Amino acid sequence: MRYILAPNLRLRPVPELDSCVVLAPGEGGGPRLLRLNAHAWLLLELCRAGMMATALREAYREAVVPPLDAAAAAESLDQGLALLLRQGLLLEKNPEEAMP
Amino acid sequence: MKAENDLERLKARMRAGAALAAPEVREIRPEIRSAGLWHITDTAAAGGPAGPAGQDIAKGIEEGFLLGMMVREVRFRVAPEKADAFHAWLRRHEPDLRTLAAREGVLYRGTYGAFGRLGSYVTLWGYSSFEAIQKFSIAVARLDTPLGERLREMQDYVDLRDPAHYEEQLLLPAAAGRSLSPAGDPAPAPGKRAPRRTGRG
Repeated sequence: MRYILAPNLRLRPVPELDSCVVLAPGEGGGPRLLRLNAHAWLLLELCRAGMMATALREAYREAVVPPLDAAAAAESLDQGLALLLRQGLLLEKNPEEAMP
Repeated sequence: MKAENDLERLKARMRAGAALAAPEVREIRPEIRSAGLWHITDTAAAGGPAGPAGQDIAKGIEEGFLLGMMVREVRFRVAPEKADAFHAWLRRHEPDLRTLAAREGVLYRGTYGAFGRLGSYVTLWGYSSFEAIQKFSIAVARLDTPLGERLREMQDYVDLRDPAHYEEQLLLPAAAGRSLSPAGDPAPAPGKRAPRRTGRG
């Protein structure tokens, strides 16, 4: 399993504000404008690298431990991925599926 | 900034404490300012009309029963002593307005007088996309475009002395669903901003 960015996303990093603005297609036809904090942005960037889920988990843990402990990092990763999936910014992809 | 650089900087920010804040996604609501200024940028880039709802709306516009992907309703007053001249101006220039606005992706949907309310009018504009709003705003703001010139002529008839007589609102086809009323959000009171949605929880 790995996570990939949903199609037609446009990322506009705003490093001065520790955030990234994302333009995403909306369900109703119009675009959605979203602001991700640094933590959500990190997840999106890690997923953009196209890692498998296990590698993603390791890369994320290296990035956030410390200041988080390992248990908090695992919980935070699951919550973050669920949030990005719910917002339509990520897609789950099985390994047997072709690379985009 | 390249993605790799972004990633390294983000990791540094995480180590510096940003990881303590939970991942968060907030929706940015377009903010419509008074006096017809639109605070919306870089939107068509996200693909424009897409998905089944967007296709249905585009079809509805093509078939003529929907006024636009977004409809801007402008209510205004014309002093009774200027009414005849205003009507004559419309008869002469509405075809121009339709043609010139269409070049910016905007459908001029007519100007209507409110029956029984002397001096009260409504103009309807149908926008095909957010990009059309931007293009239209730019064309209107420029003094040297035929469209800007026509709209300034039209504005000369509008009585702006009392702000209560001038009102704009943006209407979206209800079938657009989420873009009109995101799930879980209560509708904002008139004149109030919609509550922010965090996407958390």
